[in-house]
Amino acid sequence: MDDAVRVLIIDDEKVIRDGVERSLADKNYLIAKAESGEAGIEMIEQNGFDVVLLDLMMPGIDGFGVLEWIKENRPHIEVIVITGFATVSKAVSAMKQGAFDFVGKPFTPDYIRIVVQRAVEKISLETEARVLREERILSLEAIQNEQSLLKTVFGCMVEAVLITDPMSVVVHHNPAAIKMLDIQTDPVIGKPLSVSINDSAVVQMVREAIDSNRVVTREFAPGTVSRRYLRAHCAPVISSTSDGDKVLGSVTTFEDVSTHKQIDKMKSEFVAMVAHELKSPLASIEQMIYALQINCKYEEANSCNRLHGRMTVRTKDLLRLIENLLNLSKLESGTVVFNLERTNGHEIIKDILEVAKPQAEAKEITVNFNPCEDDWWFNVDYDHMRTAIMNIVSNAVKYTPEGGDVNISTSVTGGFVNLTFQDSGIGISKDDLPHIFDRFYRVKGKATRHITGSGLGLSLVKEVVEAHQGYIDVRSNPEGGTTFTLSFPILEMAGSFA
Amino acid sequence: MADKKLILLVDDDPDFVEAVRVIVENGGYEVTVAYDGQEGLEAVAERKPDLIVLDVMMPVMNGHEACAKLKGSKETEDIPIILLTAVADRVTTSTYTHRDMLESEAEDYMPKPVEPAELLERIKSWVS
Repeated sequence: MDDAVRVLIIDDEKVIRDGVERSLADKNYLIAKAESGEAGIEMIEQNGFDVVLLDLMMPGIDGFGVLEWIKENRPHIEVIVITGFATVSKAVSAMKQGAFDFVGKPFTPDYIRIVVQRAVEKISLETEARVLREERILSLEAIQNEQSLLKTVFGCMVEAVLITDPMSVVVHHNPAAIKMLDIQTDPVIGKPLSVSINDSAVVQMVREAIDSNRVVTREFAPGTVSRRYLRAHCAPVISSTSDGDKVLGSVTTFEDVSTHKQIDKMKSEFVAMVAHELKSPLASIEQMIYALQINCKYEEANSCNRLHGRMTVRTKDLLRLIENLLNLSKLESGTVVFNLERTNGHEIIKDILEVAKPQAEAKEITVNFNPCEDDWWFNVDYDHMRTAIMNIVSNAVKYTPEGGDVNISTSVTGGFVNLTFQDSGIGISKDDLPHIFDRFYRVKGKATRHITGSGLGLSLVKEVVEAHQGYIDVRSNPEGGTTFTLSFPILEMAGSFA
Repeated sequence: MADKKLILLVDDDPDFVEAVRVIVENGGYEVTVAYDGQEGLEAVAERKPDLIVLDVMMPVMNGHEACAKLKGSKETEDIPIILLTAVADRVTTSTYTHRDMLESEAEDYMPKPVEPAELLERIKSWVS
């Protein structure tokens, strides 16, 4: 306790009062004295005390009267009664009434000190206990508040939240989940997810998050789990124990992205419209440049000849940019229909190389095609695949200095074909490599200054390759050239079925 | 003049038609033009050409429909047709696909833009 203990001595005998006071003098107590019960009560009323040393035998209100009053009005005061040995039985009944201890007369100063000290210790223990009790109540309140805070947040969230145990049984959800998701059961809690939600993709997503121990993100088109377009994040809940990590369940949030999708679609449609409007006049201009060069007596050895050549190149670049923009916006909006047809792989490559020939010849680049021995077929949209492979070949030629070579080869393993496009070009630095499939990303530098392009070609290649269940891989070191490998599942090989 | 072969050019873009007309006339042919499939059929009915250069993507009646109509008629089935297509159009519209080109009854097809020398070579191979 911070404050000094206040002790009141109530005794009608001055000798006793002074004796007790002297005994306690070297202690750090605040001591007061009263010569009668009435005076003592009055002082307690006015000042309050912690410990009262009380003579039982007094004229007027005796010790019992005072004790009774204290226990009724100031129960936290510890009372030590002072009594003669002859009246020990009285002391006992005082104890029964709530006195803390008693001191027999005559007493030694030491004894008084010990008894008062014990009373003080009791008081300080009780105070400490009271403080702890209050703190505990406070922290319980805090927990209650936090719980209701979480509950409020959970309830007010716009996103739907589903919590499951490791067996994919729903253990909790918020009101938004009921509103947003098409749920088949009531109540949802306690039932497996597969019973409550008809879409197996959701069930599988939760399973995957729990089994693989990582966050899984999926998008759900309207009509499956909801009338809205949803994006879901499913996170496993992991508890780290001494035995290793343990999955306790999963938390899935569903976010309504319908508006985003709508805006995205509008953007794609706008880009498609603009690109389309740009394309027609440009295609006419391209054809007119060809026509201009016919039988023109000024063409040969004149600057217009060279400029016409450049006009053709730049117009072609511009058209390719527009085509790629159109393609990408179509692919993004998901409106592209792939007309899959059984296509001979070597033929489509030869077709593309034929078209790319003038570009390569102009730079004296040798293009070698080494197909594997047997023909093979894959199921692709001819035009999209042609555009994608064309972009790769055209890049290889563009980024290879004059007199270099481009090697194209094919090989079939395990139902997949690998198309390898290796150039002796300027290569791609480590810093650029992760970004080459990003939209509008172009490697900037001295070596690429005179190479034109849109930065859309490879993004398009990636989209097309992935739409055909294929993979794309790129290896490069500056000065050592670049190798692109496209892999696709094949339908069939000459002589055997894949 | 009379022995000049007649080539019909059909495309909805007048500038494109003009550019191709310059190329074809320079190759020593007589040229008539039409701006959609329907007009093309009318032009054929009026005066039968020796060859038709027919764009695929056109309003009113597209090149495939016009081609099918011409090949479906006894009077016109023998006219060679070269279909013109922009690969980009095939990719972005998905209306005119590579398969359509393969399945078409047209004698030949060429990508846009047409190389002057290449076009004249193809025309020559069909009309001589």
